[in-house]
This record gives sequence, C-alpha cells and structure tokens, in this order.
Amino acid sequence: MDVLKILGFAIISVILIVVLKEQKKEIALIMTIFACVILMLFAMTKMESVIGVIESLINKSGINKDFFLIILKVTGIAYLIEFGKNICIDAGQKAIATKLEMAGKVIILTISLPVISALVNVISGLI
Amino acid sequence: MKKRKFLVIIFIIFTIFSNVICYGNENNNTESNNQNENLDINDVNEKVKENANFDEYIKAIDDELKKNNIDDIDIYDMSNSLLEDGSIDFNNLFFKILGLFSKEFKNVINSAVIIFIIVLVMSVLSSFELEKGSQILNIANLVCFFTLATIIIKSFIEIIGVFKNTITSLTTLMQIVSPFLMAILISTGAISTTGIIKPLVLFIASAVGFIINYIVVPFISISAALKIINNFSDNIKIGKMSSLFSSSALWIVSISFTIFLGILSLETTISSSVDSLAVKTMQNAVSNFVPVVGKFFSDSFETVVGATKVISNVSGVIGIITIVTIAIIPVLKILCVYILYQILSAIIEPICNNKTLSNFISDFAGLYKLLLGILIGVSILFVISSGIILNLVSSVVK
Repeated sequence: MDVLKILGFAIISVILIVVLKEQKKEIALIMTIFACVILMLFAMTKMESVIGVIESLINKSGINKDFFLIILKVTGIAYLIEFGKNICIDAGQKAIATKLEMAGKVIILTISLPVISALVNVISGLI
Repeated sequence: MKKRKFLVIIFIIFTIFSNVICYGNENNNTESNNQNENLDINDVNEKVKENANFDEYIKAIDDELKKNNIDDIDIYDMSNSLLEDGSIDFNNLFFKILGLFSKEFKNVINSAVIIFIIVLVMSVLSSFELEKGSQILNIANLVCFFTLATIIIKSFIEIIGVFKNTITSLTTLMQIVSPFLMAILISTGAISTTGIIKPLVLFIASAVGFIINYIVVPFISISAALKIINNFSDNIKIGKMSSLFSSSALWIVSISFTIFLGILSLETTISSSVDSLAVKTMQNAVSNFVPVVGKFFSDSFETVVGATKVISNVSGVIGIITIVTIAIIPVLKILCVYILYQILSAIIEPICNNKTLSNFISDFAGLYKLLLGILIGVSILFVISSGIILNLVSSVVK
C-alpha cells in the first residue's frame, strides 16, 4: 500500500504544482521542494529498517563494523548531497548546488579520514 | 752319502716320535660365532641412536613444530612407532592437520564475507546513480574502495607474515635434518659424498631462505602496493610496473630452484658412486686381509651399518613428514584465499558495474597464486634434497 501512497502523493502534488505554476511561480517552486523532501523522508523511513537488518546481520557474523559504519555514512551523505544538489539545480541555483557538492565532498573526506589513514599505514607497513 | 742318509733317518724319527701337545677348546670357535649372532639388533639400534644423538634431533624437530603452533602432532610417538614396526598412523595425522586447517579457514571466510558485503554496498551505490558521472558518488565509491583495499591488504600482510615464518622454519628444519643425516652418512663411510653434499645442502637451505625472505617477498609486497595505487584512479597507470615486480619474483625463484636442484643431483650422482666403491673395497679388504677376526669385523660392520640405515631412514622420514606438516597448513590457507578471491571476482563482475574492482580482486588472487607456487616449490625442494641424502645412505651401503 506504501507504493499507492507515494504514487497518490506524487500525482496530486504534480497536478497542484502544474496548476499553481500558471498563477504563482514561487509558490509552485516551494511546493516542488516540499514534495521532494516528503518523498525523500518517506524513503528514508523505509531505509531505516533495511539498515537495521544489515546491522543485525553484521553483528551476528561478528565482523568488525567500524569500516562498515563509515561506508554506510558516506553512502547516505552522498545520496543526501546529490538530492539537495538536484533540488538546487531545479530551482535554478547552480552556484549553491556546486558549493553544496563541495561541502559534501569535504564532509565525506573528514568521515573517511580513519579509513584513509588506516590504508596508508597498512601500505607503508607492507613495504 | 752316509751322512745324508743319517740325517734323513733322524728327521723321520723326530717327526714320528715327537709329541705335540695342543691345549685348546674345540668349542672356542663356535662360541665366538654365537656371540656375534647374539648381538641383539635392538642393542645396536640403541647404540647407534645414542651415537647419532637421535633424541636431541627429535627434540629439535619437536621445538620447530611447537614454534609453528602445531601442538597436536606427537613426533616422539611417531618416531617410536616408526622404529618399532615401521609404520605411521596416517589417518590420525590427516585428521590432526584437518583440525588445524579448519581454524584457519574460518578467518579466511570471515574476511571474504566482509569484502562481499562492501562490494554489495558499492554496487547498490553505483546502480542508484542519479546523474551520470556524479562526482560525489565517485568519491563515495573511492571511500568504499579504500575500505576494501585496507581489508584485502590486511589479510595479505597476515598471509605474508605466515609465509615468511614458514619459509624460515623450513630453512631451520633443513639445517636440523641435513647435518643429522650427514652425520649418519659419514658414519657409514661415505666421506667424499658428505664432504661435498653437506656444505651444499646447508648452503641451499640458507640461500633459499635468504632469497625468498629478502628478495622475493619484498618484490611481491611492492607489486601488491602498486596494484592498489594503480586502482585509485584511472589517471594512474602503473599496472605493468606491478606485474613486472611479480613476474621478476617468479623468475628469480624458478631460476634459483633449477640451479640448486641441478647442482644437487649432479654432485650426488658422481660422489656417491665413488664412495660406494670405497666402502665396498674397505669392507672386502677388512674381511680378506685382516687375519682371523677380519670376517667377524666385517659382519658386525654390516650389522652396525644396517642399524644406521634404519635410524637414518626413520629420521629422514620424520624430517620429511615435519617439512610437509609445517608447509601444508599455510599452503592450504593460501590456496583457500586464492580460490575465494577467484570466486569473489567472478561474482563481483556481474553485480558491480565498476570493472576495476573485479580486476583488482583477481589481481590479488594472482599474487596469492604466486605465493602458493613458491611455498610448494620450497617444500618440494627441501623434501627432494632430504630424499637425495636418504637415498645416498642406501646407495653407499647396499
């Protein structure tokens, strides 16, 4: 039934936005962003259970989950930043989009620092 | 004439009437023969064992096994059963090795599972690509690759450590086994063989250890590091450099093995026939030219040499079994990793559209194959050289 909910929400918001676009462009844009965010939030609530399952699997298998957490974080940040960037581009704000992407890259870098330093340590230990 | 006749008569009288009394025991001769036969073979065995320091030899081998965390195999028991009834409980040995192997297998599977999960996440990441060539997703992919590389390199370093340890202990083992066999060989009279072979085998054992630990292993490590750097980005192209290092490692190993085996087999063939001749001549000379006791001496010589042969065969077999036991666990472990990586790269290719990933893993599988080949080669080289020495003992004294 979730699919129907999303589908209905998307279609109704598209119709509303198309109708609104003729009268008030700014409000139509705000509506678009709002609809996108709600769809994304819906997807995220669903994602939570998936990640929960994966985490419980990892706990069961007894694997060290530090690296795995970093990968999950990086993946999530990449999606969110990509999403935000697309919204910015839709609104015609390319400058903000590139800055957002830049900021996202830096954040990913800071999160993945332990991985990078571990890799460098390991490689230098090899030689 | 008269004088001559007289002398002849006197001579005849003397020979007829002279009483020669001989005091002696008729049984004397047979008794000494019995003594020779009664010489218990077990006593001779014990004496030869004592002379050759057999117990210390077994203890040294046992220490080497303990160093490699192989506590389950009782080498004392094995040597006793070999000496007494000439058989080994291969079934028992096999199951003990299997038990040791299963411990290692668990670790290997664990790291393979982690790699697989990360690759799954990566493939999900790249399949959701919102926009073609999105930079942020590329960076996320790179981070995933870093993680993967860290895990792969960590297991690689662990295996390289095990590999180095195994080579070192195989070398040490060779330096324990060959002098012992040489000492036995020299006690059978093979002097020129021992003179040539002893330095040769010791040199080969330490040279192989040195070449592998200080030349080949660094080459393979450099090759692995270059492989990782090569996959960081498409702009860095040092794949050929990495394969140059790995193939030169392979060449060094195969050339040195060929040279060593060639020299060893050539030298043994010539010198052992010389020795065989010398020992036989000595034996014949002793039995024919030394009066009265020569025959007994020669017989007891044979008994002692027979006992020596038994001891040398047992110690050689134990040495070979230990070499194989120490080598087989790393060999199985590396084989396991190799097969798993091949399977992983085969699975990854369809699910992940990132082509470098499956290439990277199959490259590492190639490195493991190289390690596997070298380890098997070294253990076969050592087994063959101890086998050659063992053969010498039997060929010198027939």
